[in-house]
Amino acid sequence: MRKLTYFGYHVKQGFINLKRHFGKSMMSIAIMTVCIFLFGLFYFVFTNISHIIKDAETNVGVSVFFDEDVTEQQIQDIGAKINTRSEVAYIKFISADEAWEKYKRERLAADESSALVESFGDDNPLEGSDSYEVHLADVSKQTELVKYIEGLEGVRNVNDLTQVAEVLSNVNRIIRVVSMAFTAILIIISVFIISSTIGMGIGARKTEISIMKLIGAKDGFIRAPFMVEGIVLGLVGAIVPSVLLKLSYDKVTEYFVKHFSNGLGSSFELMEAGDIFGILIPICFAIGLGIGIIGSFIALNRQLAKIN
Amino acid sequence: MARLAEKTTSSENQPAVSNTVISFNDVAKEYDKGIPAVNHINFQIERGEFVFIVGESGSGKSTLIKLMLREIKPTKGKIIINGRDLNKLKKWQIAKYRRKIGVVFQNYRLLADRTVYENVAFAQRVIEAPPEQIKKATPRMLSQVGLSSKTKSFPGELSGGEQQRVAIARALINNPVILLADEPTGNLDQKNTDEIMNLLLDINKHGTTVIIVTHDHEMVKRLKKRVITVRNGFIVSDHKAADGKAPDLDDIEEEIRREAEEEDNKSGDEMAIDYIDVFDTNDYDE
Repeated sequence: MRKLTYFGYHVKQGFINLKRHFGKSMMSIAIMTVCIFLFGLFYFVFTNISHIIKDAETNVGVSVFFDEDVTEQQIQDIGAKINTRSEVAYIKFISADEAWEKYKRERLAADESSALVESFGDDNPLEGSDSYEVHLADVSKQTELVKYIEGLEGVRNVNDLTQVAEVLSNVNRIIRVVSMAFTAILIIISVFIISSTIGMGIGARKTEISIMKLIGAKDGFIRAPFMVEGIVLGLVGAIVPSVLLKLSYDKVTEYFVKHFSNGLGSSFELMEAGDIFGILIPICFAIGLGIGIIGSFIALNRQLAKIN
Repeated sequence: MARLAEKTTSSENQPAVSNTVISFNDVAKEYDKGIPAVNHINFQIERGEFVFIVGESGSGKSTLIKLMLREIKPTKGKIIINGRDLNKLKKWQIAKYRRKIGVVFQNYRLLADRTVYENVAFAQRVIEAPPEQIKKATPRMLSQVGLSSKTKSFPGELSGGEQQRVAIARALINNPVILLADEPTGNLDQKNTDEIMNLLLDINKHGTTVIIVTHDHEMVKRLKKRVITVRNGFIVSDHKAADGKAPDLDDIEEEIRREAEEEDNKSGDEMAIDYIDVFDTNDYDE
């Protein structure tokens, strides 16, 4: 009950501290904003690449193209052989005409290149590009299956996404390591800045703290306003970059829809903002609060012991 | 002066019945290894006593205050204050322990940016007293120290004596058992010194044990109270005022000076121990 009575008092004192060092408080928030914003950017790239890889592996599957002189019968035979493989979920024949129609349809939808598409008139530039779209039941067996299909007679080319996926996975791994290292460094800097800001507040209240100690204030009572200060700095330092990240992501998504949704498949669609921010926002707040609390904790531990 | 003398009728003159509130048992404190700031400190203070601890700068007075406030722990010996063995006091128990000891300093240590009322209310707030209690107790305490008309003033607008009254009000607001005053009149003129001392005597009359650390021999002589003299980290005398026969500080000083001269050739440690032998027999532990 008493704790509640004094909750408002601590909050008020915390804000007085913030006001007293307004410039430094703003600087702390700015540094945290940069830290969390950059973390968010890394997170966007990382999760979207993961998303693209997963999409590519599960949705697109493997495209099988045939030699030019191959007969329809041979194509059917190849289809039958592929279908017998256990790792195959289903296969779909896509004739050159269907492929062109699909391309035209999606291009037209994306409008920009419609003039180019129209210029082909009734000609099909994809003539002779019949293909099978092989969807896998088990993505991990893709390499094995691709090897098998490539060995079949009449098969010209197998567009397998393993290599792309591997490259992307490697890129993603690098991004993850780099982003973690960057974030760690930025978090350390933020903690340092926050702890020095709060340290200034403690310094300014040295007499008060020393009196409090002599009168018999509990440690928690002395610390509370500074913890409030750290938490407020942490929260604001999380809210600002969260808003900026959301605005940026909306812009980037908009740009992607406009420029990359051109019939190359769903692989290049970015994740839904809801999916990404459902996880990212709590992480941002956890980082912000963590920095605030740890920063004030360090400042208090370092300075309170010096005050008698 | 006469006014001061009249007030020297505190409860210390009552026979003590195991009512010890402060007990130092062979206490030593070394800051640097091998160099004791205080050594072989032995004394007991009864509840309701009024005691002066006198000594020059560097004599060990400040160390005694720090030990009593449990800012530091003794290197050796046992301190029991208000029934608590300070060596056994856990870190988290210190705050609660200090609530029973009011402290007053030479430089008042008031919060310059807060009013007189706020300074006194602050002491209750930090121990999380209910707001209603603060509203009642603060004006009452300020009236007790004669500052009812200054509640809205800031420390900078007050005289030294008034500032010290605020500090005393702050020290007393949480009903301490002991009031520890470190050179409370060090920055004050005679008139203010008298006023503050009268106030402290009044507080003592109401049952609070008052310990005044000072080097103001004049004041000590006037008040004729128990005097513990500290020199070079040792207690060199402990004279209790009993049945109106107050110790004469001039005599005490003379005695100490003579002993010091006699023992001049001895080593510091031996010398100090000898002093204790001399004065312990006088009137300590009667």
